[in-house]
Amino acid sequence: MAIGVGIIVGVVVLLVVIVFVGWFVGLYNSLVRLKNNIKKSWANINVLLKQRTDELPKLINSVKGYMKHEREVLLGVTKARTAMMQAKSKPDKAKADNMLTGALKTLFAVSENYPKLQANENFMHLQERISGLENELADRREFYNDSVNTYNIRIHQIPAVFVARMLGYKEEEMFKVSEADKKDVEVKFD
Amino acid sequence: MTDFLVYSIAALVVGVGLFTKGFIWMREKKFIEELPTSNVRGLAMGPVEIKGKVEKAKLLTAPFSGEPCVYYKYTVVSKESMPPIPPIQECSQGIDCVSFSIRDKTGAVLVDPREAVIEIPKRYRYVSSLRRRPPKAIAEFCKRVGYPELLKKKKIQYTEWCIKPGDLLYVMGTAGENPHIKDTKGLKNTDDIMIQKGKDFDFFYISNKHEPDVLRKFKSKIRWGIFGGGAMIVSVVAFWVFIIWSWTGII
Repeated sequence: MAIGVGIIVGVVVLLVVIVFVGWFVGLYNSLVRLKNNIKKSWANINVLLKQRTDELPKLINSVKGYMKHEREVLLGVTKARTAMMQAKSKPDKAKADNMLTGALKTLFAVSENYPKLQANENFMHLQERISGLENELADRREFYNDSVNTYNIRIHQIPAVFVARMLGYKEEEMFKVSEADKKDVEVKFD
Repeated sequence: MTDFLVYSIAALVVGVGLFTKGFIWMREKKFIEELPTSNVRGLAMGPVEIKGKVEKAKLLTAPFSGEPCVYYKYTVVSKESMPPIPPIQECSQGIDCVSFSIRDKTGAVLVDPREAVIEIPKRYRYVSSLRRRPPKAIAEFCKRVGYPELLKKKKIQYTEWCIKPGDLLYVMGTAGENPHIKDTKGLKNTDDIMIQKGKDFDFFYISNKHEPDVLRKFKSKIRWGIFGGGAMIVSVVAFWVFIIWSWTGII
């Protein structure tokens, strides 16, 4: 009977080992997936940032003729576009994105003083396109931040924190702008 | 003795199956937990999770309730304690569906529910009795499937599940190119993106529950799978050990 009890205990131990190994493998794969979700969602934001940046020269060309006296506004958009193209790190991109969003809002607000521009089909199409991209960007930023939040919570939870430390997983930054940087966006009118 | 052996082997197979399934459910629960919910407007290709209301599409008619719907599933089961009669075996279940749109506050996207695991509550149940006439839809169903004699049987249970326009759904699947773009002309906001079962990411799940409730259900399934399956395996092994010991005195 001792051998029989030994067999039963052996089966229980085997099942416990399988569950433990399964849990560890699952946790490792989960951390890999979370990390890759962040990379993918960041890449998806970059796609839209590039599309928006590419539309800007066409937008500026379409308004230049009408808004000859709004040099500062147009310059604001151009500067913000340059900053976006030069930004490498996530905080720099977030800051440049914030600047560009602010500059575009100002441009579209000022354009309402020019009825002929408002009636221009090319301008209307570009305005709609860029506004659409802004909305999609807002959704993808939210998705990116949710992905980062899920990952950051997971690597700090027990028992994943031990595995994450072992594998060198660190906290990721959210796509956001500091309060100080937000103030740079204000454009003053003469 | 042969019966005991057969039942114990069956129990072992079920135990191993449940134990394995427990890990599969654990993996699926992690997919749901780890992927944030997207807005339709910002959908990117690949695994996605969305929630929204079903929009009107080309509609089907549910077979028993007669309700307009985009998906239905039905079962016909005899509640008598006898072997199933042939008509029951042949018309015992059916599923049909069409592509439909899910709309959230930012837009709408097409969903192809084929090959999805769909968990929705039953909408309609009727158990036949010789004392009352069956509803018109049930009578027409029996005639349509070629088994009007079912109407003369008692304790035949007709159950129906369906997804109707306006239902709030949670969908997890793969956003990809719409292969049926010609078929979906006329649907509002139809685009070249459709949520369907992916080739690389094969988890495709639709439920009317909110995400926390879906996760709770998976947690319960995982417990049953891993602990229930494990307990069955240990019980069968213990049973065999006992049988061998009682026969032979060995072990």
